[in-house]
Amino acid sequence: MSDIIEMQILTDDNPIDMAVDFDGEFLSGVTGGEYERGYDDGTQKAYNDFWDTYQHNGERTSYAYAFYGDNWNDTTFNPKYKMQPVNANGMFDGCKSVTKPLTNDMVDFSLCNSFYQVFRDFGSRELGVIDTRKYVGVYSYTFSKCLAEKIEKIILPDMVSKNTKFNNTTFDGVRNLIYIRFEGIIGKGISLASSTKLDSGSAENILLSLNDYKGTSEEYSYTVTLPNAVWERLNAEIPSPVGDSWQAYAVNKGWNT
Amino acid sequence: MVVTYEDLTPTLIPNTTMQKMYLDGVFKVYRITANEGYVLHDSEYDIYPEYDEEGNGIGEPVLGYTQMTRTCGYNYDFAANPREFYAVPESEVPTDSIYSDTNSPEIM
Repeated sequence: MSDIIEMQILTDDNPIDMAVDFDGEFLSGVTGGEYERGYDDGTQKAYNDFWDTYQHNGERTSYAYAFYGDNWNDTTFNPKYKMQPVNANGMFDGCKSVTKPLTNDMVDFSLCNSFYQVFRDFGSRELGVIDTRKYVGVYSYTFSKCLAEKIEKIILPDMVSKNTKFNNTTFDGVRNLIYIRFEGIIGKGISLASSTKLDSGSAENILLSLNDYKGTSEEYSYTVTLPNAVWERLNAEIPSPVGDSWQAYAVNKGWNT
Repeated sequence: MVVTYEDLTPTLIPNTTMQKMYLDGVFKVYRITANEGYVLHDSEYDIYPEYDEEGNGIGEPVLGYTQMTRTCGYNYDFAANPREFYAVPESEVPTDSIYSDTNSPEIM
């Protein structure tokens, strides 16, 4: 006698085939895909219930420390709704195990007015466009020690206001960074002292984005800091518009290096 | 544009080598490099635990040093020395506070 009994439940729609194991082991339960569909439905419901709550049915705007700490990974970090944070302070601070790209299908920073520690220690290897035009503060620890190799673009306010500035912490310890682009004007000091892998196109973009202080009262008030290796690579690969080096280009714009 | 350099002797900062950099004959910046065995402190590398809304550091900074050449403008006030340029023996500072091409600290 078989240990498995097969049965068919007749419904108004399609009949449901079941197979039940009498040895106490659950075999396939419901055949014909019903069990699998039920499992998937349950999983989807759990996903929806969690993210509907966590993201306020897509209306959440404060994502301050929302993914703080090393508690998320590439599977669990899978928001249902596109995020549009107004407050992003510490949003991904310490979120090391999320390594997948943070795309603009997932998050849009164009409404964000707070960028303190947003990507500090964040594990994502690639960050999409980060629109900071609503921000008027200091970018303290914004990218500090983040593991990104690529930051597609940081959009700055058209003219950086007096209080809007990078500081020594903004890109501190960003060791893996190879590619970055800025849109807008870098008005105050900027340091990528730890980013020895930065490619020449990125370094060129940074220098071209520096505000021109030549002949103004703020001449030589600010410093652009890049590793020697980056200067040397840039000078070897892209001719400087000024003199024989890009350091001369920065100096001619009234910047310290 | 023609770039020229002039050695500055005596140097304005002990245990460093300094040059004046000219663009088309016009003096623009000083270049400062720590001598062999020394590293240069520049407050541009210091990291504070917090910053106020103006970007000023709050609290006790972790000091940063470099083996790389730094520049400051022709108008830099060496008497006040706001960037706190000074050279110290490399052996007297923590290795993880020295910025170079082979050492990129994450000091906070």
